Order: sequence, then structure tokens, then C-alpha cells
Amino acid sequence: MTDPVTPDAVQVLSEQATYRLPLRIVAAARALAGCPAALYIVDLDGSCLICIEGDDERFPQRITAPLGVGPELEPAVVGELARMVESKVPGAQVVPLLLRDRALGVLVCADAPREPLEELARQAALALELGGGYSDVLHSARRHRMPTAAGEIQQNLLPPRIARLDGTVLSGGVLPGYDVGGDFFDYADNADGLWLAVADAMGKGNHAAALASVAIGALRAARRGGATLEQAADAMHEVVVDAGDRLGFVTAVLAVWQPRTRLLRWINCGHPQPVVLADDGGHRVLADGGTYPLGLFREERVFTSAEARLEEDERLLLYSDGVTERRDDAGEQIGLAGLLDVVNAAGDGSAPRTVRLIQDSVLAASSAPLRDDATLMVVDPRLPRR
Amino acid sequence: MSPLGRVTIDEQRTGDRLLLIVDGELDVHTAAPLRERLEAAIDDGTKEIVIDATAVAFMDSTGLGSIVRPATLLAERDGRMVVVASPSVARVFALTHLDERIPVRTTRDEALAVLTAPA
Repeated sequence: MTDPVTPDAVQVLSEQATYRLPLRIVAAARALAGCPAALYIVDLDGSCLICIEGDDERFPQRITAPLGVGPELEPAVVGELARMVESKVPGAQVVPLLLRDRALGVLVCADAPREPLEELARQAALALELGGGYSDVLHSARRHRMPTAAGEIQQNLLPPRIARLDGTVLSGGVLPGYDVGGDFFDYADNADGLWLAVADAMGKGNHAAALASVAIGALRAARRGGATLEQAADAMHEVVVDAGDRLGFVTAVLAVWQPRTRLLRWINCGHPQPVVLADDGGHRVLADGGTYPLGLFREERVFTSAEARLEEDERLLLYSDGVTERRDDAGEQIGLAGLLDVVNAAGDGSAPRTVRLIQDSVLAASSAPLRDDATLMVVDPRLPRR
Repeated sequence: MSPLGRVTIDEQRTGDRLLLIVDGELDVHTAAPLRERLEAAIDDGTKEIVIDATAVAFMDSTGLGSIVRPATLLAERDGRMVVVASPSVARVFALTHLDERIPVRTTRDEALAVLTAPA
């Protein structure tokens, strides 16, 4: 049963202006908790908490918390996050805004709440997720500065960064987020399998973002129209030939994962090869299923997929060359070996944790800004340990 | 090798055949001049192009694009392009499967042999 003072998400959405949602949530939190409260959401690159609404000056505008994958948090980091909040707001209580398998932010109250806030946090997460499309209020708060048009479009192309789909935990992220803008990842949990894609439109900036946009459009349209993997690749190729005007191309790994049979079917169009990671630190590179990038040479193409079975202790890593070609201050590239070192250092980490650690190492490699998108997707279909 | 971030392009023309000798690192910051040079040559009607990239130690996806995009243009005009590659450049062509569309050789003589062979 819902506490009588806890507003219902659907009701709140229909009776309030969307941009006032944060205010409404904090007012409800304060009424329940009997003390000052604040609503924090995660910024665009998952590096800090942003106070979107708070009714007391003891709540800082920002709290550094480099734990997110994009603007989402995995539930496992909430304890760590709470300690970061408490270091800034002594005595604070932190309640995550959980939605499915991710947290969109946290409610913070200054003292121990009189009534539990968990149900309010659940309704608030739902309201923010449903209301997000009606107003810029959340999007504005997540951005420290104005992204380029390419960066903005890219953010809007991406699906949720953290998901549990039919027993598979999946996480994906794109750096730097505010600019560059030719990479994307995508997935869809469909009856014919879990569709996966990581792609890189050549170049950077507006041209790359425009090519990526039509490429992902072609992929989704084909997928939603019941296409096979091969047909989806062909649809992307044709649209990139058309939009690229013979001048652009897109590299991509497109795949369908079958959780029942543990079979992965994929096509690699000139993209870095998928890597299968084993629990013992070993790895294998999926070198088959390769063809040249999408959008090159205006002629008929025949796409052929390859197939591999993943063992029960194996995960899949997809990435773009912006990860492995990132250079340290001495000019050395991270490379696949460097990427695997980070993965192994992450040990048995969850998919979101692994993505976050790789992103940290990409950012920390050099003081120079990223000159290419660095995109990652970790797909973890491992069976629970007995 | 030229310093980081600099690319030099020398050219030799023999009749309808253009040889471009590239030195440096071909990446997102340096690739544009090569692409522009190739596009201009193709616009001028050049049908046979050899790119000698044996002195290119590093090439990223944009660098690759500076060769591949003009190659697409040239193919549409029934021209041919051959790349003479350093091991690292050859590796990029192999990994992206573009060596299936653009011949990659290790010496200039081998590249010229591709052009003189019947299509």
C-alpha cells in the first residue's frame, strides 16, 4: 500500500507543470521526512551529483561522485555515493531513485527521515523518467555547459546506459559527451534476440553526428520492420551511401545475442573486433564476420554473419577505436592490451562498473581532451554463481 | 619520420598516373590535405593513383577515410588506386577488410604491377 502522503507518479504528472516536478518531489520529501530535503540527479558524464531542487542552503549545488555511466548509476554504488554525500552534508540520509536496474539520482534529507522515503523515491524516479520528454528541466540540470549540436544529438540517440534484459546485464557509454559525436551504441530486447550495435561514423562534429543519426535511424527502422541482421546492415549501408554522398562511412558491429542457446551472431563492418572476456582473465577476439565499412562503394553488397557460442563464464566487450587509440601524455596508445589490463583490474566487476573503470582510464590517460569518441558496451550474460 | 602532427605529401606524375608519397602520421588532425589532393586529382581526370604510405607510422579512422573516400570516387569513374603500405597501415586495411576493395602492396614495384596488369 502506498503511504497516503506519498504522491503517485501518474497523478503528479497530470496535475503539475512538468518543469515543477523537482519542486513537487522535494516538497513531498520534506513533508514525509520532517526535515530539509533535496533532489539530486547525475550529470551527463556521470561525474557528479547536481542539486536540481533543495530547500536548504546546506545542500551543495554539486557533489563530486564519479560513479555514473552517463547520467545513470548502478544500484551497487549507492552505498559509496551515500558516503560521498555524507562527507559534504554531515548526517544526511540518501535514498536512491531506482528505476528497473539503475538509479537516476537520489533524494537527500538533512537528518533521518520521520517516514520512509523509499516509496516516494520510486514514484519520483518514475515521474522523472516519464516527464523527462516534456521539459528541458532535467536535461539542462545534467549539462555543465552547452554541448555542441553533434554532442546533443548523440545524447538523444542513446538508450538507457544500464539495463538488465532477460538475464543479461548490459551497460554502454560514450565519452566525451559534450562534443565530437560520431559514435553510438544501441540495443533492443526483442523476441528474436537481444540486438546489439556499436558504431562509429567517420570524422567528428556535425557531419559525423548527421551520418550516425541516419545510420541508427536505418538500423532501428529495419529492426522494427522485422529485418534480419543482414538486412539491417544493408539498410544502414544504403542510407550511409546516400547521406555520406560517397564521402562518409560508418564502421559498426551489429549482433544478435540468443540467451537460451548462448549464441552470438554478428557482422563486423570495418569496426574493432568484438572481444570475449573469460572469468580467468583470458580473452578471445571474434575475428570472423568481417567486411569493409558501411557506406563505401555505391554497389550491391551481400552481408554474411558469423556465429560463436559464449561459455557460461564469458562476457562480451564491444568498443570503438577512440578507446584503444587514446594516447597517454607520452603519445602511446592505450591499445587492446591496455584495455584488457583495465578489464582484468576490474576483476569480477559488473557491466556498469567495468564500463566506468574503462572510461576512467581513458580520461586519466592524458591531460589532453578526447579528440575522438570513446564508446563501450559490456554485455554480461554470465549465469549466477552457485 | 616527420614530427608528430605533420604530414608531407610529395608527388610524381607519369602520364595519367599519379604517385603520392606520404610521410607522417595520418589522423584526424592531419588527414585533410591528402584527401583534398586526391579529390582534386580525381576531378582532373586522373585514373591511376599509387599512394606510397610506407613512411606512415600511424593511421586512424579519419586517416583511413582520407584514402578510402577518394578511392570510392575513383572506382565510380573506373579508375584504380593501389596503396603501398607500412606494416601498421597494412594492418588497418586488413582489420577493416578494405584490402578486399583497395589493393595493398609492400613495395612500389608491386603496386605498379597491379596497375599494369589487365583489370
